[in-house]
Amino acid sequence: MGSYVIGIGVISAIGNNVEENFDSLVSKRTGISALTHFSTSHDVPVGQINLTNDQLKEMLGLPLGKTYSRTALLGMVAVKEALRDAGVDPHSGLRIGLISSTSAGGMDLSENFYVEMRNKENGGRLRDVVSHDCGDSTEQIASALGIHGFLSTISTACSSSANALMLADRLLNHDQLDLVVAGGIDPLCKFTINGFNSLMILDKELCRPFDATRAGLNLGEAAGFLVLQRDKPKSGKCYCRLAGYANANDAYHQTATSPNGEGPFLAMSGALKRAGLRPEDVDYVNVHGTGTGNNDQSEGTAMRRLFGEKMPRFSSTKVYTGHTLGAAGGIEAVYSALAISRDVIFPTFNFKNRIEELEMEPETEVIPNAGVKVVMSNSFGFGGNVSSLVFSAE
Amino acid sequence: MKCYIRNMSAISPQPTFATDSFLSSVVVPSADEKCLKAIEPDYKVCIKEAGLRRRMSHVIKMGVASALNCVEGANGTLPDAIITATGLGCLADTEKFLQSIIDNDERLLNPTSFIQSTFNTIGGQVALLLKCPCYNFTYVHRGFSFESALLDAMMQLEDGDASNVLVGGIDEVTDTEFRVMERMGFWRSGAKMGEGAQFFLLSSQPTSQDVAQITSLRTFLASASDGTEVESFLDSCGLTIKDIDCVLLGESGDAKMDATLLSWKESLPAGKMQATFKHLCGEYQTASSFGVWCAANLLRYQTVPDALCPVGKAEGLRRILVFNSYRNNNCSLFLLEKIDR
Repeated sequence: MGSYVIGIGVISAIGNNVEENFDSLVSKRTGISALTHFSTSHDVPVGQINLTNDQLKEMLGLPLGKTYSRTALLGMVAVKEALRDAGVDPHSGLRIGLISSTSAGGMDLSENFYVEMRNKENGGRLRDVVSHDCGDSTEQIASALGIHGFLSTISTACSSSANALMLADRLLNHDQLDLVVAGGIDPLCKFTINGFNSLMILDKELCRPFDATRAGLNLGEAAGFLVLQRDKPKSGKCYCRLAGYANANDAYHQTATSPNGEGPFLAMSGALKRAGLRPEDVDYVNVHGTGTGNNDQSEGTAMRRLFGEKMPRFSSTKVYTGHTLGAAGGIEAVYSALAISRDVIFPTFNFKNRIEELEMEPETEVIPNAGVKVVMSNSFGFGGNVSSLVFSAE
Repeated sequence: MKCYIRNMSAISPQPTFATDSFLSSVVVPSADEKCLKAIEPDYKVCIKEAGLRRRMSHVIKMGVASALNCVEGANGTLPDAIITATGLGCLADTEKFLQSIIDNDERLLNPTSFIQSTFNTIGGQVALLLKCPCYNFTYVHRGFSFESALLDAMMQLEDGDASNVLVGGIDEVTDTEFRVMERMGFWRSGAKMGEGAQFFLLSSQPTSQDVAQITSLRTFLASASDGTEVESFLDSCGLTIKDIDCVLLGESGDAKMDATLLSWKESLPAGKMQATFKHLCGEYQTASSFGVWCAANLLRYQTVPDALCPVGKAEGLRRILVFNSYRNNNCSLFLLEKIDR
């Protein structure tokens, strides 16, 4: 059981491709900075990708005159890289599916359309609203890259792309497809910045995951995709195996996770059970670790319940990228694949103050040759949606 | 990969909620009505907490009430997976939050509409109210949303990861969406917009009270169609079109948007029984869930109501093929079968 990761692609605030991301991760170089792509009255730092939509179109060889949501453009960059990395030709006759996920969909365009429509009866260009729904970016990516098989899109807030990987594995196990490209995308937009600001969980400084002084999260934008196949490749690349996963619902509160971490505990223990592994087999946990008071406390409590005294090494990479919402599970799956294939642990480099009641500290230095064979990646979200993935060396 | 429909529930523009009749009386919209609004039940009965009910938008109430009603009618069988599908999610809340950003110039915004704008709000609320800490997914892919949810459910049931799965398709029409679609010329050629919330409690094991069996489903893109999808779908079930007693079509009424479906319909053998459902629920991303609800009821009641505009004849109703198309883009096929007792 468990499908194999044969290709990866990512674009985030710390790089436009896998190598740039890896280089930033091992250089402790954050992508969190001031927002410049659009104006907002909130003075909060973000994980912004420093390419305009026109620059992204140029990179992809797309006509500058055509309108695409930033969601679709970022997704195309990452999916294209993942397919190339896997050495997959979409026209090879294989049954290839695309499972994407996003929380904002085409909101980066439609939020502007909405303003213009409010100002004037027939205001706003229709081309800015046709991509509003979440399926649009998936279909744009599929069409641009020649994927004509099964398409689907998931939106479960911040756990979206972890869930896309679960569906991918299930489809492969049921022989519905030969290859699946799965992951997620979210662009920065006014809607989400204002949403998270209204919840008062945006830090005005660099976020401090699992730190006693943490004051909230930084939002980021990204796309991360993985190419999976059911059988171990006889030749060519193989990063790791998606050995197990579980999705649960905390069923506690619409936005907060329970203080005892019931949902996160169910997801993490369920993922290990599916992988046929024990808690002590886990070498590294890429935690959800957003830096909000609620998340880190709940996640830490659940980890303590699961791992007891034998806490594995863990870190949050959100100090590099910000919380990229629907893309988080995708890019962190890419980072997990890199942790295994290149045997390295990426640090939460700015951690200083331990949360006393949890008695646990994330890694603060890059650890090469860390003996990483099993990685757990957590993604928790609104609506109580919690997901855990477990990756293992082949 | 078959599964059994233990119970189902529909809030739609027709009197379909909490009733034992199957479209015996229907609401027929006039020619100039371009939008079919759902007939809303008395939500107090399903959603008892007044404060919670007040905070819920139209689409959340529709979804939650339909879901709870579906579970209640299954003699208390709680789902071990909750999978929702929606094309546009909680549009009214999304718009409300956008409006508040403009009105308040981004300052001191109330987070409620933002929280409720996320696509998984209905799934999350259902989990909260049923106290089900189980698998919880939301699919949001146009005319493949409900299809993905159902496929996921059927795979989980077959894998034994779940024994009872609650699956639903929910979408609402808002005034803004209506105006935008009007500008796009959505119904210039005869389609009407619609809304609704259909939920199904699916089980891997049959019981004596099941409504019908869902045998298989498939999706395909109209742009990639070579016209052989239905034949190959039936073939994968070991069947041909001869074995199908009634074909239930999701025609929107816009010939251009129904092109792939209509061209296949041309190839049907003469006299093959056909019926349609979208004139009753309107066109929306998850309208296929209303089609599946109708197909299951055809098998349960063994009669085709006039409201579904039947043409042709059938000896009996054992197998129904549902062919849905959304905007001549997302096409889906569902095979449902009668349960022998």
